[in-house]
Amino acid sequence: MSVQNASAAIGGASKSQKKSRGALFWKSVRKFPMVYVGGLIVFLLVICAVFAPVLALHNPITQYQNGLHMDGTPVGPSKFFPFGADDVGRDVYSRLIYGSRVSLIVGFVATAISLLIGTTLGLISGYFGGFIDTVIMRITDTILAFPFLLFALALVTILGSSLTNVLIAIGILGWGVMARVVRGQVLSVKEFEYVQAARALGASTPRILFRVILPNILGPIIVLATLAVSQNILVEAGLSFLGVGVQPPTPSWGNMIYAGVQDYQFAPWLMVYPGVALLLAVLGFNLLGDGLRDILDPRNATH
Amino acid sequence: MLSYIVRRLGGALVVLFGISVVTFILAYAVPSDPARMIAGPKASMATVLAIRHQLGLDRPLYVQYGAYIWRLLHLNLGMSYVYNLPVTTLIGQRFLPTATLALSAWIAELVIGIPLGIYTARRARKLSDYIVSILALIGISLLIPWLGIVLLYWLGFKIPIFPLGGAGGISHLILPALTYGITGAAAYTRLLKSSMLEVLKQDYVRTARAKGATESRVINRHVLRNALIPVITYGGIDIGYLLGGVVLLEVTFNWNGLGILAYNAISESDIPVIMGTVLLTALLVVLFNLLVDIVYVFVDPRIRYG
Repeated sequence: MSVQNASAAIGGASKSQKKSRGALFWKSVRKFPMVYVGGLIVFLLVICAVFAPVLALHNPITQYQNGLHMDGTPVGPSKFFPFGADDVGRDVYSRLIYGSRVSLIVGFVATAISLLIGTTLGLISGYFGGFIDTVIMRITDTILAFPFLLFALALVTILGSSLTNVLIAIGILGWGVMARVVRGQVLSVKEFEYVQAARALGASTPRILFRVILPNILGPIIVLATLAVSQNILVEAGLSFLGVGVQPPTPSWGNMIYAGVQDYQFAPWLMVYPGVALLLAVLGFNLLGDGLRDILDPRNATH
Repeated sequence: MLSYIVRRLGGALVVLFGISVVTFILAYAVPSDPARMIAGPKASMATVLAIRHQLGLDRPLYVQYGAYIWRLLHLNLGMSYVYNLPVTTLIGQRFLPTATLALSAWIAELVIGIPLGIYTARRARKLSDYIVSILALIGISLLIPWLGIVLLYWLGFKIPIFPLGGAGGISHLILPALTYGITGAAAYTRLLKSSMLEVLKQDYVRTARAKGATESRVINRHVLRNALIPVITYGGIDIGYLLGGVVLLEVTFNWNGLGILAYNAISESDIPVIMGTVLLTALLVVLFNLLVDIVYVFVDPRIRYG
């Protein structure tokens, strides 16, 4: 049998396996209804971010004169400003809609960066073992030793405050846990017959790592990634709150909350709405991730 | 067991080396020139060059790294550009307030998280389990400063039970601790619940019940002791989140500790102070994880390290 045939056989086997696994997946989704709630929130969030120009009522950075009272205080929720205006007369609702873009971009892109680094290192570490494993795991321990937020704060300060640098900082700091989990998963599957079969048939190492092992440990990785998205959205908001990251007038939920703190007493809408938006977004990814973990947990499997 | 501890110490030393390399690279990669920072914007180029030479910034990287390690070993973290004081002095002044705050925040997490974990495990798949789990999940999804400000407004301003930020007695600690407890407890709840459910299925729990042990005895003596192992592991990981989250807590509640020191240093590009706090917190994380690994040996009778 040539390598092609062998891989076709492997591919075929995993495909039929995938189908039954997929059926089982949808069957157990019904047992965990919160996944739907999480999925719905995430879906709405994506819609918000993609169709922001359509959904927003006003330009998010235009300062409207009728957004301020005569004494310079912002006007509250009204027909023209559904969620009120901010301290320079910008529409809070439109800023909220556009702010979803920052949160989602950071959530997805930073997680993708961490995922790429963490999965690759975890696969290599678990598969090769020995000295390579020790070196990679010590590097992982080192990265995990730095308090995430503080280190991200230092890194963004050094790189300069911008969305790109926030993405990079969160992305290159967040892979530690992923590398550890992926390594553990690799250790548990690498002695299985299908991996040995692929090896015996002469499949190259990258092929074994990425085409044979990776698809079989995708479940825990997806769960981890979903939960990482929620964490990264919160970290971005925390950085924005501390004044590094996305700079005003570009709206991000974190810098909107920060700007609203001073006026909380007489203009609570400035802080309440972005806070609730942030809560919903993070909660959505958390519900989705938690639900997926319950569904993919073999102990909860439906037979 | 001794060889296990020695091996673990060796690993920690390697990680410490890694931490020193990372902080050194970061301090070196800073775009703003430290010599220029010290000399001030009006100083002549000759002065800047002289300071650069004095600081050894014109020497090769490995020499600078060697000097850096040498200084670290002598507990010399350099001078703050802004305060013109040794970084160790600045950190020393603020260490205790931060340790107090972090410890109370951690206790709040445990006090909220652990009972909820036991409760949800015993009520698994009942309505109350779902309600508590969702509430815990909402807690973990909140931004620390946001929750902090809302609590401050309602419990410090509208109904003045607690002081409006700053340091002082225990009353100053309650709101920040509560804030962190609410946002962090869910991790413990979730972990304890799943590990308790796992333990509850074990034969020895059934045996204990069959012997006629009361439910509270079964939970306290047989289930909890075994189910707490992963919780202890997470406690070690959590210290990292805690020391990061403390920055947000301190800024929100105007608590003059390491977090505010780092935060101010960042806005003023006071690199030695930033690197000092990052280094110290990383050191603490390594130390705590080492401690956790050693505590394991005593807590879990099943773990025997050769």
